[in-house]
Amino acid sequence: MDKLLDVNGLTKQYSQGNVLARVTLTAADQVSFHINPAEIFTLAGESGCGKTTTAKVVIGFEEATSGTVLHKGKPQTPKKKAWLTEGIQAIFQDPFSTFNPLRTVDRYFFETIQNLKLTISKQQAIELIDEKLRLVGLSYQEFAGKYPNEFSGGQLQRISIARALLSNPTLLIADEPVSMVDASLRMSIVNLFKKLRDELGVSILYITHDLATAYYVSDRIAIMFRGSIVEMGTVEQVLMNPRHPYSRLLRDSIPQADPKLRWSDTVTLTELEHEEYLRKGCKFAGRCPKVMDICKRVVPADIVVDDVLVKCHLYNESGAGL
Amino acid sequence: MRTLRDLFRDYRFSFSFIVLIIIAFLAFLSIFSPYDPTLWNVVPRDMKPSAEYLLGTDSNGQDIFWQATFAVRNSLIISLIAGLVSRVIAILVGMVAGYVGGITDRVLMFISDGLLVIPIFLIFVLLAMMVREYMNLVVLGVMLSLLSWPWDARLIRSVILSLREREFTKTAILSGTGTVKLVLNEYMPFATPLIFSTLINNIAFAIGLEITLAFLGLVNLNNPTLGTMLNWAITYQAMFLGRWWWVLTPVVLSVFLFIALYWLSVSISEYLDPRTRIQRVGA
Amino acid sequence: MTGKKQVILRTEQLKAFYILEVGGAQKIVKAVNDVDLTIYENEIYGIAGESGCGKTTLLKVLFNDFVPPLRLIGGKIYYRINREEEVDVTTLSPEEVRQLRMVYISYVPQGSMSALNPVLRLRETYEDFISSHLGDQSREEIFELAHRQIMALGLPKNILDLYPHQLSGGMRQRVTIALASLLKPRIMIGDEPTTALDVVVQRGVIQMLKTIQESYKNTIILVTHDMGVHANIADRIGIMYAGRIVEEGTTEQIFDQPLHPYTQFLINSLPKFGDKNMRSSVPGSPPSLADVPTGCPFHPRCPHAHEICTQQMPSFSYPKEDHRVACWLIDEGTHG
Repeated sequence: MDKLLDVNGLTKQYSQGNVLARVTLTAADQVSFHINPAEIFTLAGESGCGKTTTAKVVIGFEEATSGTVLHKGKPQTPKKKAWLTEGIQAIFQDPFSTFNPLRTVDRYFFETIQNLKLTISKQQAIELIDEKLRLVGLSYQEFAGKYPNEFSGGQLQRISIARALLSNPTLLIADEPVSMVDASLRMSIVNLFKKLRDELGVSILYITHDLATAYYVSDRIAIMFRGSIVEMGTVEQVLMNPRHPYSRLLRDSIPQADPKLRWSDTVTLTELEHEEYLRKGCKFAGRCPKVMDICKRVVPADIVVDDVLVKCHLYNESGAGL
Repeated sequence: MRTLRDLFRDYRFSFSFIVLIIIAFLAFLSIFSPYDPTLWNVVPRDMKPSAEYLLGTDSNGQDIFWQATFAVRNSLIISLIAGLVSRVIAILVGMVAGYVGGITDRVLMFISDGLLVIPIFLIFVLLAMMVREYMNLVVLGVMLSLLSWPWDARLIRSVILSLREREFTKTAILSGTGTVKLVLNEYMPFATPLIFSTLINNIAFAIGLEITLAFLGLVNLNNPTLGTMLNWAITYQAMFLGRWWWVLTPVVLSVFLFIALYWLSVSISEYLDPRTRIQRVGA
Repeated sequence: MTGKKQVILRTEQLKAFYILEVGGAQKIVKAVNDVDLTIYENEIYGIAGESGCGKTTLLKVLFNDFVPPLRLIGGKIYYRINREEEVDVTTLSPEEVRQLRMVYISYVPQGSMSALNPVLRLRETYEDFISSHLGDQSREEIFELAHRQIMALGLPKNILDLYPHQLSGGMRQRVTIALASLLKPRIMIGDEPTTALDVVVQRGVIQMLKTIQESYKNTIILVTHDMGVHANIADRIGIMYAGRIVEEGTTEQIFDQPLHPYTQFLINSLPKFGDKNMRSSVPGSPPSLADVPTGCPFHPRCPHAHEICTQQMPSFSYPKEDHRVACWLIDEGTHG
């Protein structure tokens, strides 16, 4: 099966500071993963883990410091606009900022159609728009001529998806699409992703920190921490039986909507974010419950355990894991 | 014209609208002036206001009322030219610098900051002394515009810079919109209130600058403008000699003009401010 | 939990609307529409509801923060300042109101990120805060207090020397909560304290709130749309819809036996970890508070709506002593 998206050793570094003291921040470090056609792949992690940076490079808004990104086998170059040529589109986190508050929302649809030359006449354009809107549960009538503030957050997010679908993309990059939507409305958006995968064969790169929806909707998942992928595999394996201590922590911290399942133990969050980033060795060593001496000195290698990739010293040669 | 109706609710807009209509009308009246404003001694000198000479006459032998119509007309023309030309330059520079960034931005801002920092007024005074003889309305207008574009260019650039980071920029890019169309369609609505209010401020500034220069005697004093009228009045010691009608005319007209322009600028920019506009839009 | 608890905050038929002038016409947003709340000492009370249901306004009102265009239209708010006395805070002078703030009742707004002064080190913000509320005590003593509190709440030791922008969002949120609890207020109000936070940080914040409540034995009123958070921390929950409370009960009651159709939807729309079965969101969208439907505001989205639901707002029935619900279905004894 041909990979739809193939990312290899993607590294993105930023230089911060001033003339006197420059610090190099590695936002994404040797990130490698792939996405198959008609698959929902989740890149999960908390803020500052590098998932948004990776997404920006994959879309083409930023250039990688090193590493390659292949769309359907073709390498990405700085000049290339993957959203025009490679059938990739994206939706973003804040539905209220996705559209210019001073323009009607339909303008973006018409512009997309015009720029990508998707139809010939205005009538056809309206039909195309209506078709995509119905896919997301809306219709042209209730949409035409309205401004963003006339819609709710959930509706705007669905409209954003409809716009992305106009050019029949094969890959949709969704950057935290439900974080700013009410918890009770997230299902409608996430169910849409399932529908797109099943009915239209669209693959989705789902970026989130919400593991509950990640479990519900994805096929495969990669967990990122401070710039590296620490665990990757099918969603059943990684989330039902997490091997990396960080994955475990993440999974255990999901607030369950059941008062009988309250947390019994506590977490410690004493380290500052950028201190963790600059650690030598494993970045999680500061708060890992299973930390060993080697963790503070040496960066763990990517080890494959039962088809799951884990970046942790616990699973070194001797197989001494949990 | 719901817009006009909404605007008229603001008393400041109504006042300035009326005043500006009156002043524009005065300027228009200059066409019907029975006297040539550049000639002297066409009427008896230093007459008090009366039925025949509505605002009296000055020491040059000119009817002040008709002189004022020319003065207003010329001042408006100069400042309109100054305002419009400087808008165009400011918008071009601001938008290009803001969106393109990089070296282009640095170079443009260097030029713009340079013009802000150098004591332009002194250079201007020098220039004015040199070209005084050849100065007509247009030349003066263009010269004035060169003074005012840098500030506004920077303002527009800041607006563009912040808009560039907004997410709808990404949406527009993903829709395949090219750079020029993006800046015009997406950003202009945000920049319009700024442009409009700075235009009006600019006009006020130009009028003020013209009056200052004329007062200092640096323009062609044969061209009747609000400033030159004032200059002549001072030269002839109108205040001390009790010829109040000569001094007061340009002063009162200028004051009203300034208040009207200021209130116009404030009320329109409040109306156009994206934050209040968003509230009015839609539901 | 037996034993009669003391009431610490009470509202009676509270109505607070936003009166807006838009384009010459008046727009009335009925954010808090006839709310009766009774909140006890030593408990965590959660208010749940979707965006736009009025919960942020309700918190502002409970904090007695009426800034135009928000106006008090009717009803009363009572704080129990000491053992016997209940004070109607809407009648207090601004100076009295100010004195109560932070010492009796404190507020953690949504988006606390911006509640800290970006140009001051945290130490200076603390100083500012302390001197304005506890003028006379010596600086060292208070700093001791602040320092101890910070350590007890699990924040890094050197945090007071930093600027807000050097901290991550979650850290800033926790500092804001620490600041709000510094003077041991009897009531703490938090507006979406965990929204926009990472999941592990969210857990840390919830933990911190629990720790504070357990050691001070005060009251925390929490607003969030995330039922998972309520399940973890709240003792009692009030479900809010279109400016009204439609159901209220203990956390166990609400999750085990949700009676109002809206509550049922809210709970069923959350993903259960480990369960891949299809779930669906609440259908439709919440009504605009400027244009609330007649009768029961939920009727346009309710699958069990009857005729009477469109005409009259149901009053509360009490299927259990501490569990109340406003729904015509319950009244008639039928249950969808």
